[in-house]
Amino acid sequence: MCGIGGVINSQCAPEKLDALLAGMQRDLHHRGPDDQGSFISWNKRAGLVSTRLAIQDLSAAGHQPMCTGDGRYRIVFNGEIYNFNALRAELEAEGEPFTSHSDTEVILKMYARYGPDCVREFAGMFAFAIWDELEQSCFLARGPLGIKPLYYYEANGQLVFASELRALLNTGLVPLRLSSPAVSGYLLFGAVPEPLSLVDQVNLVPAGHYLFWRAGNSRLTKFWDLQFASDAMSESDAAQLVRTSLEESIERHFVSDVPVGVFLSGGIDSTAVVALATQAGKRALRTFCISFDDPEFDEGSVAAKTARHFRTKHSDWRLDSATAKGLLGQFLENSDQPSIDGFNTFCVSKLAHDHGLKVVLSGLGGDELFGGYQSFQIVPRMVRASRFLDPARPLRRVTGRVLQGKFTSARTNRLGQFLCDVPITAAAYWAMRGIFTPDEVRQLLPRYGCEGANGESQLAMHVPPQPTLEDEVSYLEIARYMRNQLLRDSDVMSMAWSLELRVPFVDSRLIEQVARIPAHLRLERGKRGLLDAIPEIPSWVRGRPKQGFVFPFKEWITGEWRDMFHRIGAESPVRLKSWYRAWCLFALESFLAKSGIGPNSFGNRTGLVSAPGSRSNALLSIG
Amino acid sequence: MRIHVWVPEYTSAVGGIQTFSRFIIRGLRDIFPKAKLDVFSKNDTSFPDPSGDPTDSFTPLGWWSRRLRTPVFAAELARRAIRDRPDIIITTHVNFAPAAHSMQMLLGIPFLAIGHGIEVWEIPNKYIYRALRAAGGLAAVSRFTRNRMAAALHLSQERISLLPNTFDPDQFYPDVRKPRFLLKRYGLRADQPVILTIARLASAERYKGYDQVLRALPRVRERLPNVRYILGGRGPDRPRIESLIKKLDLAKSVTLAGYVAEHELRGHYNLCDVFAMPSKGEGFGIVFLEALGCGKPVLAGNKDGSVDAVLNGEIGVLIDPDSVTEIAEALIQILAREHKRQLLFDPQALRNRTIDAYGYKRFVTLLQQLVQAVLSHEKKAAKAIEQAVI
Repeated sequence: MCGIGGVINSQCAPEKLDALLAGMQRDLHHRGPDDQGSFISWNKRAGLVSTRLAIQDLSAAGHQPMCTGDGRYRIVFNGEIYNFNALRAELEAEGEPFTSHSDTEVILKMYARYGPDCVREFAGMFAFAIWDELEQSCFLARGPLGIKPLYYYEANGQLVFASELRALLNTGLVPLRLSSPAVSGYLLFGAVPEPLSLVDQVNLVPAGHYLFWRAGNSRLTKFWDLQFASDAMSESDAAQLVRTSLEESIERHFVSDVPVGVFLSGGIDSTAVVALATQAGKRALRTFCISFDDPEFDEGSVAAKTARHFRTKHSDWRLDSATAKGLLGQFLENSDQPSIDGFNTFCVSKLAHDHGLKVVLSGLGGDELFGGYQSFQIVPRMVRASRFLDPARPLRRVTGRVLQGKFTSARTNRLGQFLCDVPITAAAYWAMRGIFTPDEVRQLLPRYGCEGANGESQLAMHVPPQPTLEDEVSYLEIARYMRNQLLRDSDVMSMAWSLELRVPFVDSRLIEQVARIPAHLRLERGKRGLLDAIPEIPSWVRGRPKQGFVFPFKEWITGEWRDMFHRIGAESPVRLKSWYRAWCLFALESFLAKSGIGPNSFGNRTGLVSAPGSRSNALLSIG
Repeated sequence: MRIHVWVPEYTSAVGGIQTFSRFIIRGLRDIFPKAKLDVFSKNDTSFPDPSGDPTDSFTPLGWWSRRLRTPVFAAELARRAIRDRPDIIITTHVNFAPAAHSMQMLLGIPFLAIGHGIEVWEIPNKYIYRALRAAGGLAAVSRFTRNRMAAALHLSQERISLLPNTFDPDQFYPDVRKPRFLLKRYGLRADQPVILTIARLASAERYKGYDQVLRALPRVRERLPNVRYILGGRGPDRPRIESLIKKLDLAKSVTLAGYVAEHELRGHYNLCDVFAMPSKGEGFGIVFLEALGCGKPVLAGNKDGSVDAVLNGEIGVLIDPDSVTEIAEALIQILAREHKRQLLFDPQALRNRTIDAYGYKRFVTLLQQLVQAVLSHEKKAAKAIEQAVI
């Protein structure tokens, strides 16, 4: 796990390139405090930087940027390739010599031998860049599920890329302009929809894609996508398939030269990870949990009971709102792009970090894959009902407009919006998962100097064909909510504590196998599909209603943090109605203030920052 | 300027008409960058990927029941045509021609209809027949289809323009070597000869000739014992194919690859040594272009639109699709690199010739002439356009 960055076809003076790369390295230092390195090509036109968190091959042999023996290819890599040992053995059998025991060298040699399609053989999470000194070309790749981010900016034949948006912005090579479609997408969905970023012309390499750059031209190629099938299968065969695939995934995710811990909540997914890890003989497992005083949100006691059951070494951090509030400034300082989530991962990552861990597993992804959200029941029902009502479309639309009134709840507003929309899964999904309605977004955009755009809504409405409506929901949960929000936050917030977060449920090999199971078995209510596969999950976890790994934000926002959020509500042109909408604007405005982006410096205009262009922020000093 | 494009499907399936429709949209976008482009899809239930070719609006109606979908789609087309008054309507399937004809009569909006294959070889429906005869412009994707279409409509061939399929050379290009991930997936060695067919496995698609390839395979295997036939695609015909494989004792020589996702198509073409589709009912066969774009020799039937796709045998081997012997012989000659036409074994030359004949530039030029001819109501423009082709 590392931070990577680079400038290709640099148009600045050699000494400036040097300084620029050093700046990038500083911005990425928290992602990899163990080692750092940089490279500048012979003609001073290309440079790469890396900051390394050493997990595989802790020796200096794993240093990055790493190059092939002939000096032609040079790589910077962020992530983990879990099957690197097998690939290495194959390459060695073909006569390829190795000088380290790192997965980085395996990627490099695979690329040198087999070219871009080598990415299809990597099991793991990755974002990397390879510079070809001979061809003067650059290859960027991002893993199938987009666990690791990779932002890039391309203009005037120059390519700049980095693991985090702020590292790109601080180079000064990127014009600081807000992207209207991205802001609009963020307000609609609570996270900036990939491939957009909040900054105009800065994009993410989309998950499951690679980008090949040569002589100022680039080409994006897709190499992986999620496709559900519906092979005929019995319940027991399905359970067996889930079990085997999960066991293999857990085994892969334990590949490490440093100890690996697990985030344990009271839920099914993290318990499944602990159960299978114990089953696989992982001894002296460390588990971590955050608990609260408020019993409505507290999962600490259940997690502790589970930890005792599986005999793990368990650490629990009882967090009260005053402590949380004290961490909020640090959280905002560390966030990259705004999101309505992420604080929970920030806190639990701190806990693991404070206990000396570098690698932690999480149960993230289980809900998306095995139907753990209400959306799996509600969305198909909404779609079917709306289709049924479509012959009376005018009536449906009138009802929709009434429901969008000012004095109904935010959720009812979005339902109203759906009734006016086409009756397809994506429309129902966003009515359920969204934050602001398109009408509200139109009112909010001018506040940030943005114009209305329809690009982001088309993006949201696209779902590749899937066998059932439930599969379409699963696609949206995985490729939108999980990718744009959960995974992005998890990466940034764990990296803020130099912690590598691994997600065994978000594994392309596992998903390819499980996706073969028909929806009625895979997405059965109460996650039966997963529970049947892992009988070791104790009864007290099975019987619990779904809670999720959530913090009592609502209580905090209306309680201790009330003063801070009051201002957001007072200035908003639309009624905020619920806490997550207030948080959504708060996080966005905090980002704008921090990065000095926006019309006439947004933060300055609203009095959020102390001086124009300053990175210090009044919001950051709260608590 | 405003253009309405009516398509049967755009996002929910990958096939000849869908791919062709995508190129129509991309072409119109490039030719008329400022035009408003509204797309209406009868069978889709989702919106297209916006990273593709942007449209000003997209109306999917695939969620209506099959019984109601046609009248609802027609009503929506009419409603929007009346409201938007587009300058031209382009329909990529002739079944929508009667609705387009009504708009032409009522509102004076000319329409262009495109015929692909079997659906225009015979036109028993009198409404479609009348509508097509009155169309502002007609086009067909191959000479073969055009000839059959002209005969079915009792029109002179000059009335129907040629607008052959195209492909994306940036998406389909030769690799230096066979993709390792697929060699591993199918348990193949790099030097093992591979025959590939990609088709939907359904009784209605049997004309594509995968049965014939299976029957020819024992003879190919006598000469090339480690030959492997990879049949990609899914569908209800699979159990029958499996039993045929068993009957012919071909289990070790055939791999049923299942659905081949779009992003793995190039890899599959690059895996094979010959792409074989000895079909009898193909309107054109866009898959031939994709395989040729990857520099692979193709085997095609000589009784349908495939003849156009392989330029009368210049860039592919044409055989009688009913003759298992001919298929086997041709496959052996290609796989053993004994075929007399050496162009087949020069991937770059094959690719370049295919791009010359069917590249996107040529497609756009033809489309532009066609649309402008329809806009200026020049029904006889077809002749001029035809001269530009091939």
